Amino acid sequence: MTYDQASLASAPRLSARPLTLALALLLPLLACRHSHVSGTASTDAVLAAFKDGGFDVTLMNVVEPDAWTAEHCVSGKISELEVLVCEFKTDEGLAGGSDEVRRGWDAVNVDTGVVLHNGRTMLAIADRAKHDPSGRAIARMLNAFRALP
Amino acid sequence: MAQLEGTKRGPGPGLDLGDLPPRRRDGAARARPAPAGKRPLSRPRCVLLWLSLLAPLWALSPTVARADGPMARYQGMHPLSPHQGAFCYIDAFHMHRVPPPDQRVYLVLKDGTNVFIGDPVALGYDGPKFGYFGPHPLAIADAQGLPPTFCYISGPHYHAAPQPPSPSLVEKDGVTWYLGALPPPADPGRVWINEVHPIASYVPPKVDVSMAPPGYHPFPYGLPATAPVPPSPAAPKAKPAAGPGRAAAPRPGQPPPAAAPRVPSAAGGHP
Repeated sequence: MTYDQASLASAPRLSARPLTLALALLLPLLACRHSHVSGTASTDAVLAAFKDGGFDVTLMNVVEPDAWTAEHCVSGKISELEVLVCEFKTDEGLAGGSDEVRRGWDAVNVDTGVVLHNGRTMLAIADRAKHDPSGRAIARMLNAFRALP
Repeated sequence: MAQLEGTKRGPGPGLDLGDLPPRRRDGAARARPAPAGKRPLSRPRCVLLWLSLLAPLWALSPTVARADGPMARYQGMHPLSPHQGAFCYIDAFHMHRVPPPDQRVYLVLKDGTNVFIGDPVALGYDGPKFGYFGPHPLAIADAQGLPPTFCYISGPHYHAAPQPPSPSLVEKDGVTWYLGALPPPADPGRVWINEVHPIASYVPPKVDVSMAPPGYHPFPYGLPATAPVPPSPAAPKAKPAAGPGRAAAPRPGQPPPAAAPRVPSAAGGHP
């Protein structure tokens, strides 16, 4: 048996243990990780559309989506407005997430709040300090969001 | 909330050894502390305990759980309070903390959503606009549960969107005229829209009834739906409306001016 043959024969045995260990560690993490939803505009596409529209999206981050019964969410500030974009697997989840957002506005000082759907992607914008009193920036974001396929 | 956080994180300022009972300072007490449930609480700890027990009730009180109560619901663009020129350009369903200051220019849907139906330009809107003269069917986008709606503004005015094509809507010189049947009887509140004052800089479409297309007839106010449509021969000459650019609309309890079809003026009729 040559070195190559020996190494080939032993390679699976040698790598099996670390591989199993890695899988055992990573599988739970993968199971917990929320993924994008196919068939609806992704949060990445939404942020790209906002960026194309001249908005700075660097303060948007992936957030835990469970609070809105969503699969994947990004949240942060765009033009001093609080923005949340979520992908939902079902229409029921989408409706529940929208209601949850609106309920939240009743409990905090929000001057203006918008929730809009495109497919099963939800865009929620809240202006908490009258940064956009005329809603022009919000309207631009809504138009960019609506234009997504 | 600072009190609550302090409770969760343990003793706060002032809870040093000096506050503990003397027996806690002896060696025996340190070596073999009594069970927590049986140990008498010091006064500060007791206060904190009560605060922590009362915290959920405090958090559920209406003043905390709802900062300002439910927000007002709007569909589409609308003037902002106090209707002195500021305008909201959000063309979708949205919510504001402030309710409409003047319901004469709004329809209210069953779910409480306010839909602006007035002349947006007259109240500060500066986007694309489409001229109209007199009452006409009013299509409102994305307003579910809304029956067929009419705009009851009597004279020249604007809307932010064109109306869907219809044989009864005729455009002439950039202004749309409604040549169809008499609108449904106006809810008295709906014609009050003609009493709303525009902002000072407002310039309505430069048109009057003498420029109407053939077949146009001015719509009287307050007529029942079964009333015959007045014939429309030579349109009478426009005359200035009463007040600052408009005539008074009938109020509930007042007889409608059915006998004298209202002739909108070039300056009047806008909200």
